[in-house]
Amino acid sequence: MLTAEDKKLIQQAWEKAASHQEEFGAEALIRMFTAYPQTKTYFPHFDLSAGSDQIRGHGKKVFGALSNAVKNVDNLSQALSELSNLHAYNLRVDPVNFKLLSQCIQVVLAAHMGKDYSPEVHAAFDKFLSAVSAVLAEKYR
Amino acid sequence: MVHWSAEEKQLITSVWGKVNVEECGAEALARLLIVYPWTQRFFDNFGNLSSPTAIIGNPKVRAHGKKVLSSFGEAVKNLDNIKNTYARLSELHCEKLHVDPENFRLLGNILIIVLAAHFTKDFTPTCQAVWQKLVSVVAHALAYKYH
Repeated sequence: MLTAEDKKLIQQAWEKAASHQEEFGAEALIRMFTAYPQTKTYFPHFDLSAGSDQIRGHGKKVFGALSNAVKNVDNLSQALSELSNLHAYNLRVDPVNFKLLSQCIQVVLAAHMGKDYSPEVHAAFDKFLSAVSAVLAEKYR
Repeated sequence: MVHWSAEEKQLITSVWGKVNVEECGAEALARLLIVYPWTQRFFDNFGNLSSPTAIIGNPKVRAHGKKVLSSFGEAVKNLDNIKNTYARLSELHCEKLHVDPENFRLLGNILIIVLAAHFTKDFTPTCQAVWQKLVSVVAHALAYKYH
């Protein structure tokens, strides 16, 4: 799956996002809610209006978890084990939505990195987000 | 028929007006072949696709990317009639090219990422949403005549 080169590219690229976690996380969620309105059905308890504190807070949480995944890219299953339980037994988000959020995360990274979001970095991240999604869904049944 | 609001049409045409079809098309197709290497199965006669560098520099990839994105321009010109616009191409992709329509969705998403990297913050969430809708409609139209 993820080669040594992929891991290096992911870690290098993620450093650039490190100081923008809350901002990028919120933007990814906003993009997802805008492009894929059906994803809002998982957040009936949220204020989804522009500038919402809940979106900022949740975006920060999501990107924090991704940061942890980047740091533990050699052992995603273990690093994300609790989140995997949470998604399987509590949240039960349909896994198709992981692809939608992954697309939006990539758009955020591309929009902020411009041409630095090279084809190689793009490929590495696509694989990484796929791997994360697979771990989050692995206890569903 | 797909409904496009005036705002949506505006967002589509204003972005499209700034797109260099040759560059953008080449980049989108190259990224498809790099990010999803199994898509190379359709391009056995393209020569060297052995590395990202080879793919990006491959003249057949560039030419074909330009062709594909130029065709996408037909959708932009005919937003109210996309299904008919792609009827012939849909049959072609089914009967002659044997392309799984999933590949249209993959390319559509890649195109969006290319646009985001190019337009950066100008590629707003609303802009992305409209373009996700457009690539989805195009993919659907290209799959429509499959049998």
